[in-house]
Amino acid sequence: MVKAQYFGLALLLCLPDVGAAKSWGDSKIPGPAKHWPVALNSVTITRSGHWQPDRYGTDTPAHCARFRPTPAEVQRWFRRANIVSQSYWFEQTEWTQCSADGTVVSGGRSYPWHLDQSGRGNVGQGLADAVFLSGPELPFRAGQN
Amino acid sequence: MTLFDPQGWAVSDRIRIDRYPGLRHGSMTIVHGIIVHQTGAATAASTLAQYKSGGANGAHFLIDKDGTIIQTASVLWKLQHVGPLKARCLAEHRCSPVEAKTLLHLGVKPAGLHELAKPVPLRYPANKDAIGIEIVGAPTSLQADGYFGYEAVTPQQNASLKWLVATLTQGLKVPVDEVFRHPMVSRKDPHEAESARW
Repeated sequence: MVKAQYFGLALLLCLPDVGAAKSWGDSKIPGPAKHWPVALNSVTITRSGHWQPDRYGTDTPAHCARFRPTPAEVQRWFRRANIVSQSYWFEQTEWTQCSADGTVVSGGRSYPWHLDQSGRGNVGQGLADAVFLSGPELPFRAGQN
Repeated sequence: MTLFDPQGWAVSDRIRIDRYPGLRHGSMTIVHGIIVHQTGAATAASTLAQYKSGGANGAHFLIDKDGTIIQTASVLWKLQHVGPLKARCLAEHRCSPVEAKTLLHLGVKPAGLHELAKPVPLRYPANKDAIGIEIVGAPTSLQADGYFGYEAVTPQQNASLKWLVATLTQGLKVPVDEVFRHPMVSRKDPHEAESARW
């Protein structure tokens, strides 16, 4: 069922306006090139200010707690993000310990998304099904650490 | 023993030369460190296909799953393989309180630029002074810690990596403690190259 759901998203992304982007799972997309082509009906945030442990990390939970994007900011980010290949996403984008998660509704279907404060995101969770995105870095909320 | 010719290409039976001029983003005049990566792709062919495009990003050496070492860029070429640097003083707990507070409020890229103004070893080696070694290996699945795992580095790859790092550190007089896994120096998936040994 979940697979079928992501397949629906994949079909949407394969619409002609995606241009030469034929696959996002491997190396066919060399780098940022294609904007997110799907009309988003709504964005819901289920978790924000999340901190993930990282053996090499120096971000603190208090710092990440200030990463609180609004639905409007997330929607704006999706509009500005580019679809990138899996290998580009892993090697060329930045990973912080601060993230937010939620769901996005598009074409009557709901898909989970994950967004790193650095501006690296994905829709769908498994490698085979995910759409990999790279967009602008997102701001922290003002406050003390 | 001569390690490289005047153009920066290896002179060794153990290293295959396969030139990708599109990787070049300037000149590298000094080497302060080595960064060990994993490609994020399952095959060498996939990575090398990307290297053919102009303005491509990649590393100086690629180690295939069977341990074959391919030099893809001259060691005199500056490449884009590191990304914005992490603050080394934060990781080593020696930032001044003022700098620590400043870094906290800088974004990923501004913090990287802040670091670039420092000399090694106050900062990590960067594009302008680091050789990159890519090990062929794809991400696997989401791990319990919330990050994606990577394919284990093969014994043949680790044997070649160990030889290459020893050869480069001795030949270019790079301290062994200036050899880092990619996620140590830049904001990357912490599982990248975690099974690499040198």
